[in-house]
Amino acid sequence: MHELVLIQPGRTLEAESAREISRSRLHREFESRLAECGPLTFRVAHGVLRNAADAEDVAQEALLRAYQKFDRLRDATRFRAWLVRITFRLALDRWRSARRREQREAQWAMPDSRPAPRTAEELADSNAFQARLEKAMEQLPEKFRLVLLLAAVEGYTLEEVAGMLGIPMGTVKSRLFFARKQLAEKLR
Amino acid sequence: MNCQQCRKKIRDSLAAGESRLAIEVTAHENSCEVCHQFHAAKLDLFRSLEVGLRMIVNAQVPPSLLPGVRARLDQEPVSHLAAMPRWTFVAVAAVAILAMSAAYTLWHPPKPFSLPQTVSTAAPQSAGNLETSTTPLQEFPKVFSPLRSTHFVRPGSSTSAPQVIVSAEERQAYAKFVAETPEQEADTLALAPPGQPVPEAAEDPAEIALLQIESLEVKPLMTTESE
Repeated sequence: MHELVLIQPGRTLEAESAREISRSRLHREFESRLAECGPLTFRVAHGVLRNAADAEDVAQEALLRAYQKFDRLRDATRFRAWLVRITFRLALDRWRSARRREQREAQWAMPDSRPAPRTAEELADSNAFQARLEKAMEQLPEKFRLVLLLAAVEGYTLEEVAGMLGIPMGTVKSRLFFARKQLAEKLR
Repeated sequence: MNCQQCRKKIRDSLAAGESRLAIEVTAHENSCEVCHQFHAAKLDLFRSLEVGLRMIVNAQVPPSLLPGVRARLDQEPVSHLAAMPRWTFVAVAAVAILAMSAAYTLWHPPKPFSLPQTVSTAAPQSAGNLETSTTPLQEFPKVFSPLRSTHFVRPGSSTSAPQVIVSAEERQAYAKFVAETPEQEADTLALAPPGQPVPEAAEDPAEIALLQIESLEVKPLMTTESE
C-alpha cells in the first residue's frame, strides 16, 4: 500500500524550522516584557474606563495586538510607549461605545433629580467628588488625559512619563499644568 | 499685589505642582485673610484631585490578567501577514497600480485627433491631377469617417475604394483652383463620391429636342387690328 505524502511547493524544512525559531525567539522576548508592562497596561485602561473587568479585557486585547505586531517594532526601547498608546486607544474606543450605549439607555430612564453640591471644596468631602472628577476627566483633551493618567501611576516619575511618550520633559510639565488647571476649573 | 493677582498665582502654583509659593504671594496671604482661606481651599481641592486620580489609576491589578494573556498568546500564533516585511505591501500595491493602468491603456486607447471636416474622394487612378493633393494625406495611418465616430479603418482593411482625408483648407484651395481653371473641368469629377457613377464628359454641345404633345391642339392666336 502506498503512502500519500503532501508536498507543499516553496516550503522547505529549513524555512519552516527557521520560522519556528524566529517565532519562539519573539515569544520569549515578548514574555519577558509582559510581566513588566502588564500592570501598566491595566492601569492605563482602568484610568480611562474605571471598571476592572473592562480594563482587564482591554489590557488583554492590547497585549495581544502588541504581540501580533511585535516584529514590526523597530526600536525595542519604545515598546512601553507603543503599548501605552495601543491601550489608550483601545480603552477610549471601548469607553466611547459604552457611553453611546448609556445615552441610549438613559433616554428611557428617569432623569436624576438630586441637587448638585455647591462648590468644589464641598464636593471634595462628599462621596460624589469621585464621580464628578471622573466626569471632568472625560472632558479633557486626550493628550492631557494621557499625561495625567501616566503621571498618577505609582512608581513613574515625570522623566519616565516623558520617555514613555517620547516628548520633552517641559511638554509633560506644561500638559500636566493645563490638565490640572482645567480639572480644577471644571470642578469649581 | 492685589487679591486677584494673588489668587491667580496661587492657582497656577498649585496646578504646576510647586510646593512653595512665591515670596510676594506669601506676604500678601499673611496680610489678607480672604486670600489665605482661598489658598487653603484650593490646596484641599488639588490634593483631592491627586488622591482621586491615584485611586482611579492605581487600582488593584487582577491576578487573572497575565495568565489570561498567556493563554491567549498560546492560542494565537504570529500571523503570517505580520511576519511579512512592510516593503512587500508597497511592492504589491505598486504592481497592482501598474497592472491597472496598463489594462486601462489597452482597453481605452488615447482619443485620435479630429479633423474639422473629411471628404471622401474617388480612387486615385481616376483622380488625375488630384495626386498632388492626396499624396501627403495618405501618410496618415488611420482614416476616419466623416461623422467623427470612434470607428476607424486601418490602411490594410477591406474597403472597396480607397479613402483619403482632405482638410477644409485644402478643399477650399482645390475648389478655388478648379474655379480658376475651367479648362480642367474633368478634374472636378474626382470630387464625386465613390459610390456614384461618374458622368461621361461630352465633347459635342448638347441638343435640346422640341417638346411635342400629341393630344394638344395648337391654334394660332387671333390677329388684332393693331397688328
